[in-house]
Amino acid sequence: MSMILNYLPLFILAVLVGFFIITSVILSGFIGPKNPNTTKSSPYECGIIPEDTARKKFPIKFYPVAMLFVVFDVELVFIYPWAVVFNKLGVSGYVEMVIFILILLVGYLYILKRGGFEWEKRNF
Amino acid sequence: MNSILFVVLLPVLGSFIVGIFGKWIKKSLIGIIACCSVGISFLISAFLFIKIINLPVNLRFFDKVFFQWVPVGHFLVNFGFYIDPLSILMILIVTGVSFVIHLYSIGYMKEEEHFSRYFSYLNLFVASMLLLVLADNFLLLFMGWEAVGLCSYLLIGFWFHKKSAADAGRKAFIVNRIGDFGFLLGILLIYHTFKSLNYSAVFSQAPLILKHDNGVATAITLLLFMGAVGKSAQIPLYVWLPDAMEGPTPVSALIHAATMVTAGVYMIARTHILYQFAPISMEMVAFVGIITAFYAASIGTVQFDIKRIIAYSTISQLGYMFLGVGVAAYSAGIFHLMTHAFFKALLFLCAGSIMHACSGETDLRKLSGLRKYLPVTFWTMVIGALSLSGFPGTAGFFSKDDILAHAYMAPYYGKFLWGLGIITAALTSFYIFRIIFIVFRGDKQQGNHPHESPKIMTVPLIILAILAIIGGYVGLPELNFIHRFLSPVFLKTSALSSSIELKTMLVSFIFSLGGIATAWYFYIVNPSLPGIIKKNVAGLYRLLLNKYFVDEVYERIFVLPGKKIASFFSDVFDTKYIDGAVNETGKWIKINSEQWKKIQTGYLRDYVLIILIGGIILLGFFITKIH
Amino acid sequence: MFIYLFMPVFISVLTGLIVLLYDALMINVRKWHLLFISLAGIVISILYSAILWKLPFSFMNGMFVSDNFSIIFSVLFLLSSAIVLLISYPYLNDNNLNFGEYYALILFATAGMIFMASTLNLIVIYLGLELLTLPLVILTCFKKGRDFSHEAAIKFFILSVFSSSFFLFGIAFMFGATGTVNIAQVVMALSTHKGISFPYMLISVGLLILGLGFKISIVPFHIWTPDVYHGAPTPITAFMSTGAKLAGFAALIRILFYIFPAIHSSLTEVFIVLSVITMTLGNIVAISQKNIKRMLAYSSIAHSGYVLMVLTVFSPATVAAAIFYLIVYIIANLGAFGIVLTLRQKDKEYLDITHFSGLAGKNPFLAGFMAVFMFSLAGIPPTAGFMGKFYLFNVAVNNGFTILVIVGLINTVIAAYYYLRIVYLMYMKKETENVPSTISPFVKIPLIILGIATVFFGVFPSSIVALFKTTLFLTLKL
Repeated sequence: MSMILNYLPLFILAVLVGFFIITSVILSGFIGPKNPNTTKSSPYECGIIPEDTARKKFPIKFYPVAMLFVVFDVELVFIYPWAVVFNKLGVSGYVEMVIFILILLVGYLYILKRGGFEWEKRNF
Repeated sequence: MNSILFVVLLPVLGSFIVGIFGKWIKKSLIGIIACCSVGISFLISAFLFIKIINLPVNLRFFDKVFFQWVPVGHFLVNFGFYIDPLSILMILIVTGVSFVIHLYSIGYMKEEEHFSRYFSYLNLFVASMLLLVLADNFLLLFMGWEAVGLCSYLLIGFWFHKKSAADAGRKAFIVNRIGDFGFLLGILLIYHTFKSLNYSAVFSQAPLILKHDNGVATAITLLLFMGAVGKSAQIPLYVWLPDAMEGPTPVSALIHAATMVTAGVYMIARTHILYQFAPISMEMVAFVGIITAFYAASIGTVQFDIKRIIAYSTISQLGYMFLGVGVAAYSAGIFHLMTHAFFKALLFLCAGSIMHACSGETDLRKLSGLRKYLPVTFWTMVIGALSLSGFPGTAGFFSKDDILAHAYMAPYYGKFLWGLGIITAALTSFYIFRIIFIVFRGDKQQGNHPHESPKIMTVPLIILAILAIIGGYVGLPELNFIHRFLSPVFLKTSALSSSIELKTMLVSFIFSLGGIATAWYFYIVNPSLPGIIKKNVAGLYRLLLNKYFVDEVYERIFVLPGKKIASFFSDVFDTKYIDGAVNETGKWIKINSEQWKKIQTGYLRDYVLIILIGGIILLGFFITKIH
Repeated sequence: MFIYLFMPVFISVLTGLIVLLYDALMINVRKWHLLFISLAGIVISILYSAILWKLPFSFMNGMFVSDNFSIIFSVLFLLSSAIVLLISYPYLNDNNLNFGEYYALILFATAGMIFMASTLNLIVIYLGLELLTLPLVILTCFKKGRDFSHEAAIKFFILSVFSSSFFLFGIAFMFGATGTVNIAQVVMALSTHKGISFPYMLISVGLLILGLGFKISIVPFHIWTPDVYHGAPTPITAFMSTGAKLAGFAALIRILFYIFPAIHSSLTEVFIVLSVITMTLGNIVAISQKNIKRMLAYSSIAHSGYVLMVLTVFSPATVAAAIFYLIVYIIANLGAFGIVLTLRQKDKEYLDITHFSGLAGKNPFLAGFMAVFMFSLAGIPPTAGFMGKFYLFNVAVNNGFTILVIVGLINTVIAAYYYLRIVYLMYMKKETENVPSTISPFVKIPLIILGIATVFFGVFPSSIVALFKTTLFLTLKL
């Protein structure tokens, strides 16, 4: 039984969180004043006014760019903690990070050569 | 003694070489290979025979094991050869006579298209027979036994495009199967009783085990005898042998003389230790033997086909051999087996020679006056006929009288056995000289252009003719070399007083001479007499001519009901129930297959659902396991 | 020292990267260079694996282990990848697909398989599983422009993510129950925390079985198999049905082996049921398939069912029998797919079962080998398939699962129908339409090797089974 008792606070917290969310959403709907007008209803109060619906096809070119961004962005997630404990890791840590960066570099070179960064030439 | 392996191996090798490469080998070379394999085998046998003779009497037994053949748990059977005077004598006879027949075949089958197939089978036949004779255990014996049956099937049906030949092959095979069934049961009973199949183990235990259990001994021996009856063509399973002449004539010679039919006699001689403990079986063997002898001889007197007459003669002579072993005169039986091998091979080959001369004619009514054209065949055939009739001085005389003398002394109905034997002897000399007189005397018939056979065929005839005379002298009553040679194999050999032997000899001589004289009177002096007799005893004549209607009776009693049952099972039971069940199952599975295929809808949502449900069931099962 | 442990997997990945860059950076690339580099990498990997034979070693508390079990499987993965690369070479050329990516992805997937077989850590197994699955998804739609291929890839991707999530959930439960993700320590951990953790572990095992069962296509988690095998390019189908499946089995056998002592009774029942439904459904539905790839997909489902039969009990004999069976299966399956690959002209493939009609008259070589592989899959002596089934059924009977074996035998009979139908069509039927065949040495040589192996293992199986029995089991306990 000890194991499950350990999770009891977590369970209570989960219940409390759910309760808070639901009640706050419902309460705000009841209590808050409602004065709708055109400006308030628009998606961006201060920005470009949308011309068309967002639910339409748009070029797949956007997706690879987003994916490439994620790939090279995520490496930072690894590099930050590595940098923090760099001194403790010593040479082996350094070598490992070099290998990691090299693999990324291969990926970078590959994308470069295959034309992944050239917007105009994309034919898909 | 290791060379004994080659005695069997060479014919096998010859068979394979000729059988596999026959297409690319010239006929002459095929003949040489086939003959040499058997010939060398014969030489090795002769060499071994001399070696054995030079050994002291009590050291003439070897059990040569080559390898473990069937080791299954406690059941162990070796591949080994048992060498003793009996088996040595047998392989000498088998290889010697087979060699002569091989030689003859080269000439006889010269025109045959499937020359290599023929010699391949012939070699295999010899090899199987040698395996049968040399085996040192019952399983190997059985293997040889079956292989002999197979080869006989292949050779009898050699011209399988002829329906009668194919039928004869099948008949031989099926009738043999009936005997083999009993034989196999006998072997199983031997294993059950002795826990071994090795000769030495079985025979050494036999006195201990069987002494108190006569029933088992009787059962074993009767079952073994059933096998012998099938293979050696005794009543009631003899029916295949007369039809076996559908094969090429040298094959008949081989089957009737050296291989196959003698297997039964050999087997009983080999297992005589078991028979010693079963007097009932011994009596049975003797009676079946003598009745068969008389019965077949009586049929032989009226047939018109030369080969058929000689075939019935074989059955009849085999009956003598069984009579011999049945009255515990084993060496006499084996002695007769040997002399019979010589003169019967001779007679068949002579018949072949006649056929060769007259474009395949075998009907007595269409043959006559051939003496001028076939002098060698005539003289050799006369020698064969004399030997078969037991004419003094020929081989058949010594061996047949040996058996008849022993039969006279037999403890059970000796006089009766002897008397029937004597009458049979008279019939024998009558039917064989009937052939001689009709075929060789008189005028040549129109249209035939007979010619003597080539040397390759006549030389074997001469060799066999010589053997048919001198072969008997190894068994001269006083010297009696063959008895002394075989006696260590057999437990006891009843001594014959020479006075009785002389007496029986004289009587049988008179009877056989009477047979010859009758034939001479019927077919030379007064050729119209047979016709008159035929009319007077028409019933008996018809009975004999139609072989006592045995084939017809078998047809009615066994074959037709068998066919009816078979057609019921094949047309009704099999198609409706067995096939029906199978087909329905198949259909049912196919229907299921089509149904279950529909699970694969192609929609991802369904797939996810199925995985989810499967997962829930799986987890649900594990959750029920939580106590 | 430990760097040697990683060499097989390291070299696979490295070769993959080299091939990828070689094709991208070099000008005027000769296509056979790509094949050559990949095969060289695989050969070196195999040699490194062989060096590590009988040198059990564990790194980072079982994160990465090298024992005889992992080595046998690594070698098998590498060999099947090599054969897939060889038989796909002419196919790639004819379809204009011969890019470095293809080789790289197969090599990455192979690395993933090796990870799955050489670890005691559930998280690493999961990583290996993903490293295997993602390249496979890309390879499934490698032949661009075929809707079928894309559909298959999407299905495969979504369903494998779905099942992976179960696997991950299972790992979480395992950690929750025992406080460790090292399967070698699970049983010990269970004995120290008695009571409540056991139920969680049962649930965890169920989820893990689901995750891996998806990979090795156990009914009902097989549902992706026919569509994906059908839609994927034929060499990739061969790869999925052999290497990838083997990897799933490697992980499953390892996990079950360690967890078995804790929950054997429940596992036995589950596996009996899974085995029966898997082989029965696979075999029965295979009968009504008209496409050879779909038929082989169902056949591969059925074969998983047979192997599950012996995973109900663990002993040296069961593990040896299971691995021997898997080897026999992948040999015959690779061979069968190799022959399916030859029935095409340029990029047009002939995949109907009826396209095999009259093959024997036209091309006795292909027909003869196809017959051997079909006999092996059907389990007819003297092919390896018979001996595989013999050992499998023998082990099952010895452990008292006679009924299961009877079901297995009935299934074998059902299976014989659709395997022998191919042989029947090839030898007894006249050709219905003109089916061309393209044979190149790249296909011929592997086919001959696989054919010889099929007969060899059918005639001399005992030595290799004995080797598995004596060497595998001891080292599994590392």
